[in-house]
Amino acid sequence: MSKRVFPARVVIALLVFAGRAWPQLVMGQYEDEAPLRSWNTQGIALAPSLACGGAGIAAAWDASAVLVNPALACALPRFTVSVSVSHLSASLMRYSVLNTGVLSTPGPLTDRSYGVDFGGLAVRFGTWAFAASADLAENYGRPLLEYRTEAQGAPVYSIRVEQTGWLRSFNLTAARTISRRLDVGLGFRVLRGELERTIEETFAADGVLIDDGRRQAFSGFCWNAGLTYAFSSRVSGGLVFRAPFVKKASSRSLLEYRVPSSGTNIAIAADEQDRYEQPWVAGAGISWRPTENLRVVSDVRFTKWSSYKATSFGEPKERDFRDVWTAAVGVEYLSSYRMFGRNVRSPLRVGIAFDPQPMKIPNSTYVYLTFGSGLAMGRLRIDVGAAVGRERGSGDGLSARRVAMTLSYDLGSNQP
Amino acid sequence: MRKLLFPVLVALCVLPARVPALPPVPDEPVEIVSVAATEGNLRVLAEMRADVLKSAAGRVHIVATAGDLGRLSAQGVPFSVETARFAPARPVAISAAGGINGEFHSYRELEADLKALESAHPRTVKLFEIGTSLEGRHIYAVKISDAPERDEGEAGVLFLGCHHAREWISVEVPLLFARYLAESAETDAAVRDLVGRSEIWIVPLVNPDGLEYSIDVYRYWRKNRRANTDGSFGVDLNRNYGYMWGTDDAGSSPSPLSETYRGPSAFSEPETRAVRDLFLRGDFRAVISYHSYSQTILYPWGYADVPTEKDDLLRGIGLEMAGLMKAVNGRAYACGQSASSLYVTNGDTTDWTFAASGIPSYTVELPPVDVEHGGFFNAGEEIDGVFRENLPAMLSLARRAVISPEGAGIARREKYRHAVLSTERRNGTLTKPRQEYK
Repeated sequence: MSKRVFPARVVIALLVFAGRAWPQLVMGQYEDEAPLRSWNTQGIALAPSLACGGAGIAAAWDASAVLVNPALACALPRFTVSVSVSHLSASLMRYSVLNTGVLSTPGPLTDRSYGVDFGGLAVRFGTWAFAASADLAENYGRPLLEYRTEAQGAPVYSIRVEQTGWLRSFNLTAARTISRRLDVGLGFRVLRGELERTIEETFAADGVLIDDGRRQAFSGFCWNAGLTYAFSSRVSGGLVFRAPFVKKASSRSLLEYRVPSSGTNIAIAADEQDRYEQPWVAGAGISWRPTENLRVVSDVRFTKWSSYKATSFGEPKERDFRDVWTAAVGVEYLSSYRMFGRNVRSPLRVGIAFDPQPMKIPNSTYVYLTFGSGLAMGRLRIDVGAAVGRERGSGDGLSARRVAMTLSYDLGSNQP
Repeated sequence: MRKLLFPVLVALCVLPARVPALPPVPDEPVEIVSVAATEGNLRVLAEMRADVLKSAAGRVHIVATAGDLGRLSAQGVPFSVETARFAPARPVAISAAGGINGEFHSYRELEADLKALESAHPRTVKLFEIGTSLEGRHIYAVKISDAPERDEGEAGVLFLGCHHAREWISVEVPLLFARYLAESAETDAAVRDLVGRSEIWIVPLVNPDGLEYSIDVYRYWRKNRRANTDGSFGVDLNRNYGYMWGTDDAGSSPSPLSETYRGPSAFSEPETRAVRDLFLRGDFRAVISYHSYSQTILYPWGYADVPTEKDDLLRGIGLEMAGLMKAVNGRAYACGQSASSLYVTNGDTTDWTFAASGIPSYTVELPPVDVEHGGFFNAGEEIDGVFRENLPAMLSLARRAVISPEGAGIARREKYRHAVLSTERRNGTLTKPRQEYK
């Protein structure tokens, strides 16, 4: 995924800004290892699901459905391939050195990124179905911070803080139709990623350079399982479970104090193994078709965040998290018409999602309004979805947006 | 090659001798055993002058050598070996190895080491929690005495570290001193005598929240982690004490954004209140607060360039300490009155301790000497050397203060101390000591 971070000039704390201030260990949503936009990342939502509030436990639109519920591989056409690109933006008020005492801004800064975030395929052989995919599960980027002072044109002091990072997952899924009503599935995910944070500080008048560089390489493995049950031809439900797992990190750090003029070079290098003990997630969803053209989908998910544990360079970190329930509801209306002499199906989707964050202070929840549409001509479908979220609780008025465009190609019907 | 052999052997023999060695650890194995606390058994223990560790639940625990065990057996006293239930007696492992803070201690590493020190030396070391920081961390004080669990009313000496978060070396020196005293009290008669006649209190980390922020987020963080009302963070703990607090804006700042923000009121911070309350409870005869950098020994006053009534005494002791430090490895520490030697500071620790009790109160700015040589950074390899060059001065001040305080002219002003206590009770904070002691 190509990523671009928009630099933000930050002013040293000369501005008095409104809003509550929390002690250092409660940065709010954005600890260094926090994914951009939300801690609650069970599986990436592509355009159709995103437009329906992110609901996707009982409804399959594309090959990404198996990330949340592996049993949905049986509900996809005989062959499905999907690719997605997305644009993500999120505003942050407090992270790293920003608004924690070193650098301050009167309002939040925004980080933006875009690129390919999913590619995968799913196939069915009789009662069996299989899927394989790769996706960008989490983004650890932060807005770039740069500040410098000059006196009579000469540099006096500068600081530059940069953090980038991502977590990719590679997924394999197997699912089977047990009966006319029941499908079950099991998924395996291999995780790989990295996080890099650098703080470069220069005291030009004294000729002092301080570099604080930290890099973590992530690896992990987890499994998830799910089932779908068709209560009737119009109503189906799903249950999912993602097992707890450990995201391991090989962490390296180099803190250097250098004064080139005197040859002083003091360095502290560290090489540690860290663990991020991720919680288990369970969820239930429903898909209801009141008419042939109308579908209502809804999910609730529970994440056992109180069991989350993290270490940083060998030391346990304070993350006083609470368990979290998230919920999403979406409505899809399918319209059909003729274009260029061909039958075209075009869904309209709207939804809403509630996304509480796990930290206890501040008590922060994002509410997303989502919408989207699409176009299906023959075997090719293109969907666009967007989610616009506003955060309540921190007092900082944070916002988050995601826009996704998904291209899918499938063969065969949706029913085995 | 043979030509090189002799000088190398000589060097190997000579070099270690130049460094003051920690006391040797006796090789004689010991066990911790318990015997039933019967009259007969107690008589046997008394006759053999057993080293009693504790008495609880009808049993007496003693530290026993092989000879002691033989005597117990000979006397027909049944005993149970309990060694495995106690922490290893020695050596105390140092937790602060590696990590992003290198050889320096984080809060958790320090906590682990202090607890290990207490477990290893229960007869001389007692760990106290004297307060809690804003973010809920304990502020630990180590009491080193011959009966640390009891308040014997002995003269005390107080060593403080890390008021300022980025001054990592200021945690290490008092911590190593605690370790030195605990270990030496078992093997060195002079240290045993000092510990037996005094209460040496060591608070190696006054500002745990700030230290953690300095390690995790921003190395140059100085203040504590107070969330100020304007959205900024931190109060300079060494400007938050009660004597001449905020007397002008040169020695501290009223602006929360400032590195020297003195806080909304004297002793507004739990960290300084913890030190204050400890100080007022004890009978302290001398104080050193460790900082870095600049290699300077500072004494009151800091709030203004005026001498105290004990200026000669303070300068004399300070110069003596500087001489002891230099004798170790040649590193020179300057010595002078705080306001004139460094810069004006009001509300600092040692102005308050001196105003409150008239005892010798020093701020020791540890190495390096300037920013060109590291500023607030020290290499991990420097820690031991910095401690060893400070050790003779620490011992000298402690001996002077507790063994012959009257003769040395550093007795505590009891009358004034009582006035301070009554002020505390009335107002909750000590902001304006009596005029006569300015």
